[in-house]
Amino acid sequence: MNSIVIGLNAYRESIRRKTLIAFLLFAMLIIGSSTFLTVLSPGEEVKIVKDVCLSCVSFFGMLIAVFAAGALIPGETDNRTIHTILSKPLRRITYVVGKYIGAQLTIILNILLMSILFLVILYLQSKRYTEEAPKPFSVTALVTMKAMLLVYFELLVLSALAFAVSMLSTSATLPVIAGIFIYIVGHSVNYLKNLSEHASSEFMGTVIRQFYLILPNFSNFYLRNQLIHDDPYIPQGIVKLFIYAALYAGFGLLIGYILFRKKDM
Amino acid sequence: MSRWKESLTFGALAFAFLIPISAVQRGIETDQARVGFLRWVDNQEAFQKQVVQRIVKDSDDRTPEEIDLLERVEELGSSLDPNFGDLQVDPKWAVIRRPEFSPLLEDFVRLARQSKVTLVEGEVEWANPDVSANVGALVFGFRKLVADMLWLKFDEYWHLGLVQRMLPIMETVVTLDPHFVEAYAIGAWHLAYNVTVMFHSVEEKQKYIDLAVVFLEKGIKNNPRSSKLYSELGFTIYFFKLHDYEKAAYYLGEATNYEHDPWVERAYALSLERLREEEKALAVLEDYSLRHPDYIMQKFSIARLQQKLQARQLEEEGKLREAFEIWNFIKEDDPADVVAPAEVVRLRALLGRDTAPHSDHGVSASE
Repeated sequence: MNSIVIGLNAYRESIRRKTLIAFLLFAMLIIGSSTFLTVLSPGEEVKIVKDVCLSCVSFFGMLIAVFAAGALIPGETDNRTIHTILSKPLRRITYVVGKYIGAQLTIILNILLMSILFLVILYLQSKRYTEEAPKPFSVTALVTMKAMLLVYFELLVLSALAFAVSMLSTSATLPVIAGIFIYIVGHSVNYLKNLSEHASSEFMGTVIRQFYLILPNFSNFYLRNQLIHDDPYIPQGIVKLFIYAALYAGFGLLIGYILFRKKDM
Repeated sequence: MSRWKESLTFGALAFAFLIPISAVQRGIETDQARVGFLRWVDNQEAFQKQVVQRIVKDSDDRTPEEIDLLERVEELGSSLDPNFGDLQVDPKWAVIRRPEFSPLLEDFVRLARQSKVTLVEGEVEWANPDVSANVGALVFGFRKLVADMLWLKFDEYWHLGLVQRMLPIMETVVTLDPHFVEAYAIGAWHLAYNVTVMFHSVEEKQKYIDLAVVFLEKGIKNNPRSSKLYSELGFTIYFFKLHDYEKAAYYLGEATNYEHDPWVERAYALSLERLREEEKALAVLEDYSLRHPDYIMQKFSIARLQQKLQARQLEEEGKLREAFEIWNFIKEDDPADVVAPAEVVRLRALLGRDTAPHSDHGVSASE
């Protein structure tokens, strides 16, 4: 219960932060202006809108996740409000979980706002460029929301890791940089797989493969691109991806708590 | 609890998270491999059909291992589901996920690593060390966006008339996004129509038409269930550009097997009509008419096909003059019909009539 109260407070605090508002505004601006790009690509209007908007939600979602999760605790340490909270009869795990919930609420709100604008733009474009046998918009909206869910799963992993790093820091700079670094690594981790298959020795191959398996792999969530473009080859569902994201979120939270529990305040 | 014990507990807990994480990652990887396998099976089935029919492919350059694997897949698939080849994605996926398929999936992954199977481009990150396979990682998941931006550049080059710059961009776009169906369709259309008009020599024109065909075939290879690519190759290239109605009918027929726009069936019927397969064309249009009663034009097409069938029937019965009159009427009534003039000439020759204008007038007047 206390975690939820702390979470709601953290959420209220987050949504007032100018950095996050600026990111959201930039994202909304790009999503809104994606419609102008369609003029340059006749026949490709809906695809361009989908790609630009999805990439925009992904990119700004990443920035928002890194800032929302990475700057929460350093911000409190900097303001010294953390001392007031921790001096109360409150377990540190409750505080950590609460802050993490707050960060997630912020990310969800931002993704939701971007998704709504995305759907509006998509609806207007679909109406404008109708095909001979158009699909009902409800179907498009459903797959779009599914793709947004995958964006969120990716951010769930990223924010958990950035949150864990933030426990080590007294300023927001380190977790933000670390978050961006994790994002880049997470998208490049497939290189390790190729490397493990072509390693000089079997032992090296096994070691590299184990690293590949435990490092966050954001390319798992590329399925969103296939989903949004109605690729017929998406029979595998997204349950495994949800489990993957949830496990990583739990892992990040655990590491965060381990680092925070003995931190001298 | 001592500090040491506490650290050990937390370490064990963190490790406990990493085990299921790696297990789920393995599961996701297997699913991705299975989807690649499913795509390959579909792709190979489509290719096999072309090889068997000898309509599109004259040679089969697949490795013996690949052909053997496909045969084993088809054998096992048919034993599990008699309609395996015609199954949609979801039921086929259900069959392919069965444990009986695991050894074949392993063989597929092994062959893919040895580059002995013709994989779908862009789906190969999990198996292929090729640099182009990792473009996805290179642009952090924004591969499709980069492809779109390059596509805009392609359009810019087209308007500047820089054809030679368009070609590598087209290739890059579909390497980045192998499922960019419109890029194949529009790119091939540019090559076959807009680029060819820039050249006077027949060889040059033919070169770009051939490139368009290759480009669309590549698109079909990467998207074997995309009706649009089959219909573009069938209608835009073979029907309109090359007037090869046999190949047009083949590709348009393939296009109707997948989710398609209504016009594809009309175009299929038209190409069958041009092949003088009126009965088959009529069946296609009648079936279409039941599902799209609001479309009026096919009623005219159906009437025309019925007239043609009647003319053929009369000819079989030896009533050449009546058959001739029907063909002549069709010729006059629909100047776009390319079969009727040929039939008129043929029947005129059979009737021994060389003075066409009189009879033509006669028929028209009586009508």
